[in-house]
Amino acid sequence: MTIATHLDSKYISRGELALSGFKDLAPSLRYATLLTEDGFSVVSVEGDALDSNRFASMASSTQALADAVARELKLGDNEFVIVAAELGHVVQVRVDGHPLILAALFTDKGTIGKSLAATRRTARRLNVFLAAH
Amino acid sequence: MNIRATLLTAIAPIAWGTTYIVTTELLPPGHPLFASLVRALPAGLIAIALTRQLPTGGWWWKSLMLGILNIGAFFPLLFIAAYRLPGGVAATLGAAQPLIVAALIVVILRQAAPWRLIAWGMVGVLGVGLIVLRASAQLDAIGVVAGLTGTASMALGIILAKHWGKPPEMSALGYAGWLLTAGGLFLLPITVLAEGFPASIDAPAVVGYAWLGIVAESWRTRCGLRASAPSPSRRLRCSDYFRPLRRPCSAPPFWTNCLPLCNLSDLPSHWQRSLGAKWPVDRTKDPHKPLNGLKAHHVLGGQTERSGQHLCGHFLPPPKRGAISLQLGRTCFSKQEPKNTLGGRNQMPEHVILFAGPMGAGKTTAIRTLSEIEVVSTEAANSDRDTADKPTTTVALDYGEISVNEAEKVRLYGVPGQRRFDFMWTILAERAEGLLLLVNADAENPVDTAIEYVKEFYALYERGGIVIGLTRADLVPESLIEEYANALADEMPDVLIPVFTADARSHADMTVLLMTLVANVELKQAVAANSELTSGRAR
Repeated sequence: MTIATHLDSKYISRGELALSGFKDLAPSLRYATLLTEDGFSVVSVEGDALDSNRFASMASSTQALADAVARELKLGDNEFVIVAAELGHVVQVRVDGHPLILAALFTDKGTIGKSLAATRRTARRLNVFLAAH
Repeated sequence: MNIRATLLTAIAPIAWGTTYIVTTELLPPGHPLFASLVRALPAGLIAIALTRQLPTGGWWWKSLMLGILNIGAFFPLLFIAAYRLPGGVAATLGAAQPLIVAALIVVILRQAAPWRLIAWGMVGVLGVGLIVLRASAQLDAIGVVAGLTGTASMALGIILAKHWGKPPEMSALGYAGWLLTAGGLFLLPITVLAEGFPASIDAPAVVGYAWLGIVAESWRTRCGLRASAPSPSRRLRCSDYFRPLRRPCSAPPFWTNCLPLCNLSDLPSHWQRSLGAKWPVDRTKDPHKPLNGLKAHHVLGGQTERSGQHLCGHFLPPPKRGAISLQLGRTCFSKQEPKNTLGGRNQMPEHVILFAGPMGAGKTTAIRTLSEIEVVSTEAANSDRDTADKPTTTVALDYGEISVNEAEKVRLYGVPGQRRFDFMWTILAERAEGLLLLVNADAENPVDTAIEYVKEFYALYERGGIVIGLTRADLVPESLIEEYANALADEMPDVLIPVFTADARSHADMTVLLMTLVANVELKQAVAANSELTSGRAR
């Protein structure tokens, strides 16, 4: 029987490892979650007050909509998603080769560029961890 | 439906219906022929001058005949009735026009008797009579004869106009101009010989003549001949729909009592054409036989009933048991303005239909079945194979479209089935007019699931409507559909939700569900609009 991605210990342990250094890369990080494409939270860091499941669901929908827009407009693969709001921003990137998305919420204390760089770097780290074992 | 055009068209009979109040309050008494002449001839000549088009061949005498029937004979008779009868009596006589039209359809067009039109015509006469007739109403014989003859003349004119169509290569305005002119010229000698001109025309009379001749008649000429479309029955019903309404509304004493009458007799024919559906479906021979695999139950007030003559047109009203059937249909002008998706920038009328239901019910498949465009999907790898054993699942929305005509679209939105995406339900439900709820009958607790979804989208039910489609029903016992019906009725005794079995892959099945929903939505919007109208007048 196949284990669901969000219950797979491999993803959970590697995810925890990768996300542990996220805050160091971007101090404005408020919350981050690693989620499956269909919106199940695998592992989360920071922001206990947030509903991780809801955040994951919204991130999943947002990612899918952004992918659909890129697809419909024939823009090629969608690389990342940014939702920039008055008091903060959300950055989402896919984890290459896996049905996973890294979604992170940042406060307005940091720049979007720095947040994007930190998120992409964390996703690459996770990819390396997953490939290594 | 082109809402703007319909609303503009709706103004015509309402403006035109002011004839009674303007005639009795502003025009000099005793000059109905002159009033008719002033109303017809100037407008006709102006229209001809503007268009500079001539009839050809047989259209000379056809224009003359139609001008006489619709204007030359009708106008003076109308004015005679208006002068000699109380507004309520005249309105009741006018409301009989659908019955005369129905008779002429049989006699002239040699079509089958339009029983629905007859029934609604009778209801119209009865309804208008009940609303506007008073015990003190006086019946003047000449007035009654004039009213009935005028109504018959107009009805014959309508039928012949439908029968002959429109002159080729002539605009509607030009055509109207010739009819008005023909009618006016017919009236001119009669007016001079029989009545003469008023000794004096005061300022209010000038206003009254100007109103009738320019405003009311220009609207009529603008809109009326657009009704010369090749669909006689539909146009006739639109016309009939306004007729009982406008006359009582034009009489101040009855204003607050004027109840708008809904014509619920016409199904959304342009939807039918667009969707390629046969509607309504005649199942008289074997009403219980599933059509294309469909079975239907209609639920209300704690009762269920197998569908009868029409697959989707037979509802049970609470609290009485099973007596009245409503023929679902569209309204001619009272439909609420559809929402725009682009915050008002896009003026294209649209209808947003939501597809909801649990994961694996077939929502995406249904939209793909119906959509005329390639469906925009937001599928993601499915991690939850225990709930639904399929490789992908929708995580944001599915989007498809059906074009009703060049200016009107039906937008089909599918929402994710999992509750964790309920924020998408909220977002998309705000835009929707109706919900097509698909439930896979072979799932665990499908009845409870259906009820849960109905409750979740209850606001949408109240605003528009919900239709339930049971998919994969061939995998469960026959009686399950009754379970749904009974459970829904027990849980929500006041709701009216049709329940069907359907195959999401079948275009015919999904079309029937969609059409049923559309009919529900339009019926509800019509009732709501009419309620608002009534309450507004009461205030």
